[in-house]
This record gives sequence, structure tokens and C-alpha cells, in this order.
Amino acid sequence: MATIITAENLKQLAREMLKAGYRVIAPAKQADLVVFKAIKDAQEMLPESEYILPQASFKEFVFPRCECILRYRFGEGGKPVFESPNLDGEPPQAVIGCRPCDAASLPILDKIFGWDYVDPFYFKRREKTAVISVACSRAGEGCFCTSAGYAPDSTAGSDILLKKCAGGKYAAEVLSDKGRQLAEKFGSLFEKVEATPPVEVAGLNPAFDVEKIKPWLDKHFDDPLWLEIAARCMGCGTCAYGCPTCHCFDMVDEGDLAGGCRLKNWDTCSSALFTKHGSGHNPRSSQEQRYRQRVLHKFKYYLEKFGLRACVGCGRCTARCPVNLDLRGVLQTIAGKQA
Amino acid sequence: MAEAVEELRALARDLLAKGTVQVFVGYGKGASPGRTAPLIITSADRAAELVWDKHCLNNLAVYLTRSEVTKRGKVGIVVKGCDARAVTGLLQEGQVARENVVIVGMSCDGMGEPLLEACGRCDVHTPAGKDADAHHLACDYVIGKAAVPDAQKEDEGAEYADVARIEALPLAERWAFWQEQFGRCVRCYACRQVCPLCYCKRCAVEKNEPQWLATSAHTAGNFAWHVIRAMHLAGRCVGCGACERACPQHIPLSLLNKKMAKAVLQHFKYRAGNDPTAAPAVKTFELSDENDYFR
Repeated sequence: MATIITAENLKQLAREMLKAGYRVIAPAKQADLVVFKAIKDAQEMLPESEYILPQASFKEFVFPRCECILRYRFGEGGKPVFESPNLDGEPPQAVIGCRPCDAASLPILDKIFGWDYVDPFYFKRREKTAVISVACSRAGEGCFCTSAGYAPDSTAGSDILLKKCAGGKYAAEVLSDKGRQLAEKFGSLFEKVEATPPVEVAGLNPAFDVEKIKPWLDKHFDDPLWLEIAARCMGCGTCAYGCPTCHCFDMVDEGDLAGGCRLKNWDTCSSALFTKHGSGHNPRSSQEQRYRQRVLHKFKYYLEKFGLRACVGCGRCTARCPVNLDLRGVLQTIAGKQA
Repeated sequence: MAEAVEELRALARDLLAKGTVQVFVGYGKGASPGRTAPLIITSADRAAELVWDKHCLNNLAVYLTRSEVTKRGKVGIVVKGCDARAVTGLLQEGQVARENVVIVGMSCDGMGEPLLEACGRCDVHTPAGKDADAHHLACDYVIGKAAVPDAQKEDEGAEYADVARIEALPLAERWAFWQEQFGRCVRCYACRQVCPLCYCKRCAVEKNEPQWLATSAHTAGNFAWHVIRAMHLAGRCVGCGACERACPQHIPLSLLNKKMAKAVLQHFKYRAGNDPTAAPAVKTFELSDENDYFR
């Protein structure tokens, strides 16, 4: 037995989920961009044929760019009163129409946010999030998921994975309990067929052998290559803030005499201030050192610590980079070197 | 363009080989068709990697204040006529010493496919060379001659028509417009990082004793950031548009910059980056100024 959903019914699914009180996050237009948006109307959801990747990943909906994690005010007699925002009342949410690379970022983010301290803000949102991804039937210019250890139809992180078939239909692969519950709850929109019809999945040849990256990184902390490739890095956060797996944040207090808020804000290792110590010393004093950190974190440290690389090969970092610093090319160069 | 690129490569090869410069900044092949990427080379045998085509959009002047480049020695740099204005600004503000840089001006018929809107209004298709008068930045070398004639000087009305459109909106609509625009900002600071004139080692937004500006990407914090950024560039922004092109959220930053440029032109009769001998508008005052807060 296989499960099928039509493009028409996928839109209907978004409509019914909105009606049922879900926050529905889908690729939609925002001015001239395609972005992940909490849509108000199912009509806003773009047909899957009209985009490959929205300009940033949907991580903002589990890890907001700016989030209050503690409120404080001065009560009677100047005594501080603390209050932690409660996310229990947040609606369940569903990401519809993301690509498998973005979905695969969730199991990666789970590792860091659930490591020495379980981040309640991340996990509250994560638990309430269902992911219905659509496998890519064509690859974008900058895509390199197959080099990063994934594929255009990877299942990691998805609750339901849709694959394009002929005639505006999608074969639905239900992958988790969350996915099963959705497929049951909105069962009238899915159709059962005898066997899975032929599906269209993009072919994408790997650009490099990812297994060769870490052995070189292990031995070349001080290699001149870093300056050669990264002297041009501008030191902005465009790559990190579009990246599905970048997860660094800064904590700041904003308030006045009456009270205030402690915020958890996105941060980036590209920034000179990121590692600057209170003493004024900065252990990563130049841009090539910061870029090296970015690569080492994703392809060495994360792998050593959690058994996963912090890159899914979406290629957004390169596409968004103001100086077109090409991570795929850098990795290709590294993979071609003798460790 | 094919001849120009060969001339450029030969020149860069020569400058590096003879040790006239130790590092050369130009354009190289991008990761995808339709893009180039800044190329920073230190050896003559890499000069063949230099590229010159319709996609050389980046304003490379930003690298003149970057230690990753300058620590390698004297810099040779490729500029278009518009980029030369940023170099002029850096010279005027004492950020770059003229003798420490070899400037290679590239004649340019306009960049982008389709042509960038700003290129349609360009009046510096061919950068000024060694024979330039003192009121123009003299490039050490100029390669090629632009085939496109320089645009006629527009009147201020035409030049600032897009600013006027926003100015004409009722206050509430203007507020709503910018709230929507700034609401998108993620505070990646790409606008600041790619700006040749944003060279401060420590930006106002990074000063936290006291915290002058909210660093959070909420709408109020973003308003503060973008207004301060525009104000700090008033009379200094040369209008290259690098900030707007770098913005991943497509915020129309040029509108803000142009609003400032318009005010500076009206009140001080000054255009940033045009004349290396001119006193920058925000770096000078006269006792005869009509406003008494100067005295």
C-alpha cells in the first residue's frame, strides 16, 4: 500500500490545518523574495514547482532570531520580579513544502540544544513542529546535499516526505508518529493506492568526498590556505543567518529602571566581536581565523562531539554571500588535498 | 572587455613580479554563472585568474582598510569610476595613504545583466587617469575607454525622485513602510561590512558601556540601527549601492542613503567622493555658518 496526495489537496491540507488552529509555515512571496512565512491563507503557499529553496531556512520558527527568555520588573519596594515566557500556549505548527536539506537540519540542531543544557525554548517549539517536506525533482545551482552526506530525497527530520509523481500528485512517505497522526487526522486528503507510482527525484553528482574533509582539517589548523580563501570574507552574518544549522546566539539585557527583558539573539562566528574577551584580547583576531572556525565547527568539532556534520549542503551560504565565498568550492579544494 | 582583461592581467602580473605591490585586489571567477568574486592575489602567476566582465559589481575599495589585505604589503586595486569615489572618501578621511596604493581604473560601460539602475545614470564610465586635475582622483593606470557616453548631470528632482516618492507619503504610511522594511532585518550587518566607508574598528552598535543601540533584531532595534547607520554615512556615502546588494532581506537601503545625500547637497552643496581636495561636509565648519550651534 502507498499513500498519495494531490497538489490540490496539499493546499487543502494547509487550509484545514489553519482552520484547526495550526501555525502553517510555507514558502511564500515576500516582495521579490521567496521566504518561509507563517501564512494566513493557503493561497499564499507557493506551488512546489515555483521554488527550489526559500532564501533562508525555516529555523527561525524553532530558533527565533530574537527571543525574550526572561522578563523582569521591579515590584513593591524595588524587589525584582522574574517571569519566564511560557510557550505552552503556542499553537502546534507545521512546515509544509520545505526541502529535505532543511528538514535534516532539525536532528542536527537537536544535538546542540539538547546537549549539556536542554534548551526549553527550542524544544517547546520543536515538539510542536511537524515537517512535511517535498523531495527535490530538480537541483539548484548551488546545491551540494549529496556531497554533504544527504540526498534530494533524504528522510532525516521529516515527519512526512512527499515525492513528485506524474499528474500533479505526490507519493507520501509517513516517517514518524507525528506524521502518522497528521495523515490520520487529515486522512480524507490522502489517497491509498496499491503501489507507489514512479517518482521524480533530482540527480546530483557529489562534488567531493566528504570523508576526506575532516582528516585534512585535523592536521591543518595553521595552513596558509585559510588566508588564501578567506581574506576576502567580509565578516557579516549573511551565511550564518541563512544557514539551517548555524545555532550560535548572544544573550543581551534590554531594560530601563522599571524592568526589562533578557534576549537570546542570533550571533555569528564571522563577527569580530564574537570571540572578543572582556580583557580586550581576541583569540580570533582576523577574518581568516573566523572563517576557519566556521569550517572547523561544521566539519570537525560538531562531528567529533555529536557524530553529525553541521552542514546539509543547501548552498545558501554561497548564494547569499556578498563576496560569493564558495563553501562547496572550499570543501572541494580541501577534499582534493593530501591530509 | 576581452582586450581590457588581458591588459589588466599583464599589468597585475608586472606590478606583483616587480614588487611594486605585494597584494593585488581584483575580480575572479564566481561560484555560479552570472557572478564574480573578489580575488586577492600575492603572486604574479595568479594574475591569469583575474576576470573583467559585466558582473564585477563588488566595490573593492572596502579591502583598502582590511588588515587581512593590508598586512601583506602595498596594495594594487581595481576600481570602476564609481568605486573610485569610495577611494576618494577614504583618502579624504585619512584612512588610506595615497602612496600605499596603486589604483587601476577600469573603464566600464555599466554592470549587471540587466544593467543596474545606477549604471544608467553613471557619469564616470571612464575613471580619471594621471592627467586628471587636482579635483579628481587620479588613477595610476586606466584600462580601456568606455563605449558608453557619460550621462548628463540630472537635476536634483530626477536624481532624487525615489526619495521624493517616500517623502510625499503621509507620515503614517511612511512609518508603516519602514516598519515593514526594517521588520525584515536580521542584523547580519552585511550592509555595514561591505561598505567601504564603514571602516570603524568598533561600530557604535558594538559599544555596550553604555549600550547605545539595541543589538536585537526586533523592529525597534532595527529602526535604531538603520537610522544610525544612515546618519553616520550622511555626507560620506558615495552611493555605490553595495549595502543594498548585500542585504539578504532586500531592504531598500539606498533610499535612506540618498535621503541623507540629498539633505547634504541641499544644505552644504557637497557631494561625497567627488573631489579629493574638498573638505568633507561633516568634517568642517565655518564661523560664518548661519546656525549658531557651531559657535
